[in-house]
Amino acid sequence: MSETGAECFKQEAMELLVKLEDVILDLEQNPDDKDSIDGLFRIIHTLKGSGAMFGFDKMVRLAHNLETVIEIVREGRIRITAPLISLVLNTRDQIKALIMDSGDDEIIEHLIYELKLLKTSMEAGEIPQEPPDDSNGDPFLIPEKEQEPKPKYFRIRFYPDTHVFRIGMDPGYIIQELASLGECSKTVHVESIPLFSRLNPENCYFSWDFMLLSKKSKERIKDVFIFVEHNSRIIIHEYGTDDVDSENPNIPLLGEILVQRGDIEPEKVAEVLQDRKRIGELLVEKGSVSPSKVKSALNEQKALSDLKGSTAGIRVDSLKIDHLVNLVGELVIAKERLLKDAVELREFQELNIFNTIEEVERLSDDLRDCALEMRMLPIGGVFGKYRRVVRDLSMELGKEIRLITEGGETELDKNIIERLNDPLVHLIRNSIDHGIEPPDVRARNNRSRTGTIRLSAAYKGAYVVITIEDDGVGMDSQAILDKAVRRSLVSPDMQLSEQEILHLIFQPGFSTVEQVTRISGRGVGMDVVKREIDSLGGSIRIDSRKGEGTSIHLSIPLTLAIIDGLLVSVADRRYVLQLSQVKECSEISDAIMEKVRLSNMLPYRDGIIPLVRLRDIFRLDDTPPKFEKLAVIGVEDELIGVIVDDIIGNLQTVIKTLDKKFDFTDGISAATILGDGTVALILDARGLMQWTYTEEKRKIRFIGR
Amino acid sequence: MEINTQTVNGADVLSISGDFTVYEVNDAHKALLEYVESGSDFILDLGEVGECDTAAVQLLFSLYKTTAEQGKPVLIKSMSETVKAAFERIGMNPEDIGYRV
Repeated sequence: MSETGAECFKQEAMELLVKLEDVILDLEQNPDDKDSIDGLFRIIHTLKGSGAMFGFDKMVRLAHNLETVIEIVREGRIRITAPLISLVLNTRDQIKALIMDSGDDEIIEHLIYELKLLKTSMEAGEIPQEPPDDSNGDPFLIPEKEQEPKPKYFRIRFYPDTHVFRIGMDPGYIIQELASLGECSKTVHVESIPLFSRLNPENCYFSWDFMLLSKKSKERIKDVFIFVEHNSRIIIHEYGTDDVDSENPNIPLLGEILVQRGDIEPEKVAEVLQDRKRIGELLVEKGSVSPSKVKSALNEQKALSDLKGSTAGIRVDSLKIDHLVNLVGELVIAKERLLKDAVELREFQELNIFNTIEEVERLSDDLRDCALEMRMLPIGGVFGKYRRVVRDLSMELGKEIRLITEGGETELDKNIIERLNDPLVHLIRNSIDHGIEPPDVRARNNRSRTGTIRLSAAYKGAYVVITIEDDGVGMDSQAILDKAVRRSLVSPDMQLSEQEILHLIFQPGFSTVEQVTRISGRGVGMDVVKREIDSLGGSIRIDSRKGEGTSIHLSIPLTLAIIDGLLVSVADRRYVLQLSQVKECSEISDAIMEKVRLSNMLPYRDGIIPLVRLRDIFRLDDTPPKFEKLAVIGVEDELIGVIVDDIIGNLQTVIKTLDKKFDFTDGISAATILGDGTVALILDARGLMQWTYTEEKRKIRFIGR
Repeated sequence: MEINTQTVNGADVLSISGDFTVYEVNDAHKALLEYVESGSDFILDLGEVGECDTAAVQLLFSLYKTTAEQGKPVLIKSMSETVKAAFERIGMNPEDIGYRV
C-alpha cells in the first residue's frame, strides 16, 4: 500500500489507542458495563483489521491474541479484573510501539504468551494467579452453567455498498469470516449483475442471504461487517429473541420475498411501488393532516437522514492550518495598512473607498475567526491522557486516587494544548506524589482512603482557566519559607505574604523534595512549569491550606496567533497592550502626576495600585507631553496603572514570538508588526507588575543599606 | 495480470495469468468486451490465475450470463485453485459459469 495510506492508518490507530485506553479505564470503574466491553472489542477488531491491510503483521498478531481474550470476556465467561486491565494496557502500549516501529520483541512475546495462557486457562475453566474465591470479592470466573452459550440461528442479509470494491474491501473475506463463526449456508443473489456490455466491473452487484448457526452473540456477528457497515445494508435477525419484537423492521417486505424467490423481477416491484401514492399524500387527501405538517415532517425526516449520512469531517495536516493562520495574519496586517492609507486618502477627499474597506475589514475578521477556530480543540482529549498517568502512578505508589475531570469541552488553540501537556503532567504528578497521602495516613486523619484530584477547565474572558485541585496534605508555607531561606532564595527577614511564599516554589533552584522520587523528582522543577506557562502568555496561581489540599490555577489565553490590542505611544515608540487586560483609560492632570510621582502608587477606586511610566521603563529621555494618559490594565484582581504619552486606539494584531533570549524579560510578552511595517512590543500586565515588585525590592534594599 | 491470445484449432484461447482482482477487472473487461460484442467464439483459460477476488468472480459471471444469452456460452478451459476458492468463498460454484472439473 502507499506511504500515505500507512500514514493515515497510523493516525487513525493512534486515535483508536487513545479511545482504547479510555474504554479500559472506564471498565476499571464499571467492570460489567456491556457497552464498554463491546466498544473495547470493536476497537481491537478495527485495529487488527486495518493493521492487516497495511502489513503491520506483528501488531496484528498481538492484537489478535488480545481480541481472543476480550471475546471471551464479551461472551460473559470471565470478568474484567485488575490484572486483566493491566495486561490490556500493557498490550496496548506495545501495539502503539509496534505502530511506531519501536516494539520490544521480548515484551511482545511475553505478552502473547500471557494472553494465550489466560485464554487456554479460561477455556480449561481455571485461572492462574487468582483462583475463583467469592470471599475475595473478585471472582475471575463466572459460574460454570453460564459459560457455554447455546447455538442460535441467525438470518443475515448483506447488501454491500455498490462501491465496496473501490474502498479496497472484498465481501468474500467478510463472508469467510462470517462462516468461521459457525455453520453457515450462503445464498448468493446474482440477478442484479448486468450484461457484460453494461457492466461496470468495479461496482459490486452481489448481495447475499445467510443462515448461520452460531454460539456467538449478535454483536459479534455484527462486528464482522465493521468495515462495510457504513454504506451497506446489513440486517441480522436472531431467531428466538428478535421474533417477539413486533416492530422489528427486519422482516422482509412482500416484494423482497417475491424477488428473492424469483417470482418477479426487481424492476417490476419498483415500478409498482412508484405508482403507489406516498403516505403523506394519502393522509392529506383524507384530511387527517395539513400539507404543511407533512412538509415539516418530511423535512425532519430529511434532516435525520442527512445527519446519519454526514461524516465527522476531513483530516487536514495541522501544518496547512498553521500556514492558513499565518496567511490570515499577514492579511490582517495588510488590512490595517490599507486602513491607515485610506485615512490619509480621506484628507484628499477620496470617496467610496471606505465602503470597500469596511467590507474587506469585515471579511478579513470573519476569515480570521474561521481560521483560528479550525485550530481549536477541546481540551478533553488531553484530560483523557491523564487518567492513565493517575492510574499508573497511584498504583506504583500504593495510593488510592480518583481523577475527576470537568469542562473537557472547553476549546483551546491546538498549539497551546500541545504545550500545556508537559506542565499539566508535572502538576498532576506533583499532586499524586506530594499532595495525596497514602490511604493509611488518610484513614488515620479521619479522611476517606481515596484521594481526589479534580482537573477542570472553564472560560474566563479571553482566557481559559485550568485548575488542578487535590484534597491532599496541602502546602506547608513555613516549610517552603525555611527551604527558600536555606537555598538563599529569600533573606530570612523578608516580609512575605502567604501567596508570595507559595509562589517561591516557582523559583529556579527550589525543590521541596527532600528524598528525590522517581516520579516527580526528575530535575524538572516547578520553575520549568512556570516558564512554559509564562511563554504561553498565561499565569499561575496557587491556593493551598495545610491539611486540606492544594489547587493550582492556570490562566491560559485562548489563542497565540492574534490578539485585540490597544495601541499606545511614548515618545516616538509605540506599544501594544492586550485589550482583554485593559480596564480603563483616562487623562492624568499634573496635580495627580505630582502626587503619584514620589510613591509610584495610584489611588484607584477603593484601593491603591502600582503605577509604571513606560517612559521610565524604556528610558526614553525626551520631554513628556503636558497631559499624559493612563491605562489601567490587569488580570483578574491584580491591576497596574501604565502611564503613556498617548492612547492611539484599538488594533488587531498578529503576535510574533520573541527570541528565546527575551524569555526572562518581565513585561514584554511578544511583538507585532504594525501597518507601516514598524515593530511594536506587546506588554503584559502580570509581567509589568513583576517588574515593579523587583524594582521596589531593589530600591528598598538600596535604602536599607 | 496478463492476457495472452493464441489460436488453437481455429478458436481463440485467452489465457489470463497473474492476479485477477478489482485492480485488474477494468483491463480484463476491456479486453473481453471485444470478443463479446463481435460474438466470436473464444475459450478462456484461468489455470494460471494468481490472486482472485469477488470482483473477478462477478466479471466472469457477467461474461457467462451474456454469452449464454447469445446462445454461445463461454468455454472455460481450466481454473486455478484460487479462482475456485473465490467462487466458494461467496457461496458460488465454478459450475455456475459452466465450468466442470
